[in-house]
Amino acid sequence: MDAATILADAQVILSLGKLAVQVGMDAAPYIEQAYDIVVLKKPLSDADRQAAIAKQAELEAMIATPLDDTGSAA
Amino acid sequence: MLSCFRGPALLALACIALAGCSSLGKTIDAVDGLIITQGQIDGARSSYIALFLTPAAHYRCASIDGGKCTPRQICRTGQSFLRDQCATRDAITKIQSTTVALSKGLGDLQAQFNAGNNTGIYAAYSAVQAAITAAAGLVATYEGN
Repeated sequence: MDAATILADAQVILSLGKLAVQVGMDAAPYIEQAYDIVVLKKPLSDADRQAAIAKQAELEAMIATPLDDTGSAA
Repeated sequence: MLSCFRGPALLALACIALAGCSSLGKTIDAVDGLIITQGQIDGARSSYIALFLTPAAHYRCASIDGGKCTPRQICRTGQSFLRDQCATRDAITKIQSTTVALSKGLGDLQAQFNAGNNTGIYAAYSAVQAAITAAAGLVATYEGN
């Protein structure tokens, strides 16, 4: 394995690590919220419920981005 | 009155024998864990956002900036998410159809609850919970390939 391959692999691992951290950071407030509701039986305020519904709609809209808007990987 | 017939037969018979037994029927439902609360729906929504929508959005979008998604590129033959940070058409299609189904499931659940039907939606609630778990597994699989 040459240096260029090792460097390329390291870059892939680094980018995947960054992605995992980003997903974790974005999901953390809602994992905590689910824990509060389900385990601690702490009710959600109306404002928090509306914020969760808005976040749900925002993420669903991102996922619904049409395939036609996506190019091919180089 | 129909709710009287849920639960053990003896309780049902006793229920029939009593006048105005709807409250007893609700008690039986509660013992069986069949009453759905707003908290349970909220918990399901939070799980849906955390376990499915968030990783799915990152699978679909190469970057997310202020709520704006820059779509991830489609994998060519031989490419993979792990190696090339690309997404497959098949995975995106499945994630999109799963999102539509789960969104509708949660929306229907909330609408039924808002309409005052908190005892007849247990099966729907269980189905949504199971679907969220399955969907979380699905997106984790795509991000592991």
